[in-house]
Amino acid sequence: MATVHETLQDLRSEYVGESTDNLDHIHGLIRQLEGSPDLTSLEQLHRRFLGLAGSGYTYGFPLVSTLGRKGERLCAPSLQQGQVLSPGRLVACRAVLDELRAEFDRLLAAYTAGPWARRVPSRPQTWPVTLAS
Amino acid sequence: MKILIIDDESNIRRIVQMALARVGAMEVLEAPSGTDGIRTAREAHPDAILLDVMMPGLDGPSTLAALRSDPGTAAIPVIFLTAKAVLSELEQLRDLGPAGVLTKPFDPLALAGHVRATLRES
Repeated sequence: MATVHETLQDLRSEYVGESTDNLDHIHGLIRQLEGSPDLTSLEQLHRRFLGLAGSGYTYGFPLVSTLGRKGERLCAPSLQQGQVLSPGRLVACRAVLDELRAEFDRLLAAYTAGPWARRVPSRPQTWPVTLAS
Repeated sequence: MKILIIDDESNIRRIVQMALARVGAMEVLEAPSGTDGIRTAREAHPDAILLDVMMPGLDGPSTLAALRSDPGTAAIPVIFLTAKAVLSELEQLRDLGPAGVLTKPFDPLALAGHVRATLRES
């Protein structure tokens, strides 16, 4: 049975591996807010950043939490006032996203090539089948 | 001790599962939404609930209210688990009367101890 630390490393690899989808979603929300802003997209963007703020350091990645918090704080005031993001804040959100991508790229490289690379399950054993003639 | 974690983020449910089951030797149930969490709480009667605050659909405070209004779940201690960091927001959550408020990010190796301590203090 894997130790707690081994399990934690596996969870970290999984977390890092899932980051691309999450960041793509954030990218889509920012594009939506740049094109035709709506409060639902802003709410989702705020929740995504808040999610990263809460999960990053929990998984051992403090910069992810810092950047998630930065994004969350860019969105929160507008959300509380029921207003869409200003162009300046949208630019700042995009900059946060770029920093998140850079950090996750670095983590992905470390977790796929480094000593903590996720253990790949071996292919299931299949038994040779002898067909009766 | 049986704990129900209600959180829409699968990565948080996974690490809470590991933190409480592997480190804290607790039985852990999971629900991805407030609605699913209420149903699981009614069916499984956990000893405590860890409840995320910001969830799509039924959020944490609404889920707490629904749990409190149901005689079958009203007495289950609920601990908010939130990524909110503003003090006034945390105070607002405390005013809702949960057993406690724990914040994200958290140390997965220490979470079980914090949950036990929070339940003792409540």
